[in-house]
Amino acid sequence: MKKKWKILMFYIVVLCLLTGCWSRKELNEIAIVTALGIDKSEDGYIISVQIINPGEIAGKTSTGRTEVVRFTANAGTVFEALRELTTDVPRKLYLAHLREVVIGEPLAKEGIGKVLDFLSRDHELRTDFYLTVAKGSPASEILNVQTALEKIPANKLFSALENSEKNWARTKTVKLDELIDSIVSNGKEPVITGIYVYGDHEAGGDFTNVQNVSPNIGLRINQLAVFKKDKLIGWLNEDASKGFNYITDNIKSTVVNVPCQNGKVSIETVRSKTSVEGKIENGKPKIHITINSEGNIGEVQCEIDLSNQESLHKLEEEYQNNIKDKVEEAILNVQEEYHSDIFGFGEVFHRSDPKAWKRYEQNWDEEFSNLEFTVQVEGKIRRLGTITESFQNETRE
Amino acid sequence: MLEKGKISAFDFQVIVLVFTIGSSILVGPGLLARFAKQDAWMASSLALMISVSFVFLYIRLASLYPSLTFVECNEKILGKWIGNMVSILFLSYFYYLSSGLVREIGDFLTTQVLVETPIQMIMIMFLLISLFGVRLGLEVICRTAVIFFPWIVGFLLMWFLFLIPEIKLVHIQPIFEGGIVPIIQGSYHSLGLPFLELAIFLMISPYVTEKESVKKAFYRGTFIGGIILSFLVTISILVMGAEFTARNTYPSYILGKKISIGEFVQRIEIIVAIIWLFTIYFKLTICYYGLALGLAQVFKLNNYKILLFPLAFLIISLALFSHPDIVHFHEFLDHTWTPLSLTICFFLPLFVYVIGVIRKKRAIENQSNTENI
Repeated sequence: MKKKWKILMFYIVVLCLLTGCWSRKELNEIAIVTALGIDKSEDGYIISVQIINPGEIAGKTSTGRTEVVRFTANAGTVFEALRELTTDVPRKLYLAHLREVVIGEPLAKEGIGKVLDFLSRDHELRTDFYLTVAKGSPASEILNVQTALEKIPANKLFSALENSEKNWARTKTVKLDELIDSIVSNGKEPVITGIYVYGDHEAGGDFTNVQNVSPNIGLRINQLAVFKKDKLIGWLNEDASKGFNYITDNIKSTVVNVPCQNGKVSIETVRSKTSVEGKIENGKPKIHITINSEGNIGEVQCEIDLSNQESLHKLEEEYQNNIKDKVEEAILNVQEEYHSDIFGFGEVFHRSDPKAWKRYEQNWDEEFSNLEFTVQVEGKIRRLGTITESFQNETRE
Repeated sequence: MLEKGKISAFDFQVIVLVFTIGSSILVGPGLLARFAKQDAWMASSLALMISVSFVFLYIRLASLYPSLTFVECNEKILGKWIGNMVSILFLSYFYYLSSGLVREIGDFLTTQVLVETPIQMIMIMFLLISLFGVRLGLEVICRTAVIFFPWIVGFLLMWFLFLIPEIKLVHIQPIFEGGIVPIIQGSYHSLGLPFLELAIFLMISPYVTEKESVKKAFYRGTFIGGIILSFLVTISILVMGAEFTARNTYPSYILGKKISIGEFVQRIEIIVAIIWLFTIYFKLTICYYGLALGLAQVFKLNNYKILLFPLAFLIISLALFSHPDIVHFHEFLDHTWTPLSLTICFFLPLFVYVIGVIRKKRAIENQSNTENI
């Protein structure tokens, strides 16, 4: 009998302990942050968060409220500002589902290192969100735009970044660990894709914006911001951005326009592979870039005889030149203007010749600016699409 | 005999394997990457090779008196007083290790998963379950380990598989950048964590029924465990790069956070935590068990179970008070743990072994002498 009591007591104690959920948070107690904007203020940071309104997204009936809400707070550090938001937001912020961090341009110019520490230290944050720089407007304004099609603007940005990197190749997705890695590394400097608001800036937070067929305002990603260590020093133009992606072997698919007779031909790059080699020649570092690119004809706007191999070879040549020009332009542009090794050439030397790298490491920026390079492009056009000859030849009168 | 349980060589192998992975799986990669940078995987492999010699020593020592635990061996070889003093020194190390493990669990869970839960609560819960296991005896502990073993292997495989798309080969280049010195430094630090800790199996090996296969099982368990660790270090570096691995307190947990297969299989870092909790549970339980058994043998008690509750209190309080903060704890791991482990788990057994061999020889000589007369 006594033993039975003992067992019963034991079960009761265990029951009390095994309920778990010491610090549970139910879904209706947390505010899921999808985007985080960080701007500079006079004595610290202005933090803006975009929180989703779960009832509006998942509920069967919509009440006409907005799907996302933006809050801002101003405090000395990022962490403090996020906590200060509790005075405004009725729920506790939950950062694990963050998709997008937008950094204001003035802050980026001053240095983003301090901000990144919080993002890397806090336990709720993962490293699977993308970082972008707000161009021309504060980050808080970027978060204040309602987007059409995607209910959650942060998701729109997330997929737009991924899609344009894959298909347009003038932007680049940057995650936290990669960014920190290139800030820390001496042989590589970071780039971050820029994002800006187009249209009527006033209309951003207005819900009616998304009720138009053509919204008055929207978000667009464009161009790459060049950094030196953690400071933004300038922007690459579109062609150079593409060149950058060619050099860093970040091209999945893109469109290349080449001239032909009195019009243009668009070639869709379907496969591209770049290898970068570093060599020391006569005591000077030298970079050799080899690009193997394969494409299909995407659009023909001129009179060209595509059944002829000769003319296809001519197109291939143009295709190669086009890529080569972009790559060279990108390197020269960065060498002259920014002196910042965003291509990671230093890392190439670091990997291939660690001993020599030790010599160059200290003043690599200078070495980089005078670095010699050669570019070799191997371009092939494989297929013509679903039609062979263009009917352009027939339209001529 | 205090422990009547018998385990098979396979059980022994599994428990050695799990013991080797436990706790190092979480802190190992960071520790190694801090010293050896992108060559950490070499450091880890080197440490494994060196540690085979430790296992060799433990096996030789165990085969001197195959049916006696280390504590009993000490008394037999060194006599009552010195022997028991050596035993207590040995056991105090495992007292410390147990509390260190409890501390690690607490620190990890309060930093990464259950941030708002008091650390004491986590520690007490964990130790209670461990106490439960120890009370039920060696046989139960080992069989449980065998039951959970497929889960651990399955999760590990799944985890490694999911990380393959994230691998970037450039991260381990340039190979051999800093030369041999950082590699040796790195491997030196991973000797204490976990390989020297395997000395606790001197308390367990007498209870393995198949005496011949113990050696093989010990080697195999250590080796497979070590290879898993090396593999893990390599993957951490391949995926995150040396810098990021070194900067994180729990790199393998961050690895779990990185998994994302088609936006579908993602956010499964808790699997890493599960592997870790399983393995560290068995590690803690074995340490705790060895400690209680050893103490009972030193004091000639006829049941070690009476020691369990007092020991639990001692372990919890040491875990709470030994280190004021996590920085102190990591400093301790970096600078003190390996020399301490070397002293207690290598030089001490070596000393006992040498004396034991001499005594045994003398005993045989004496015997033959008396026979001759």
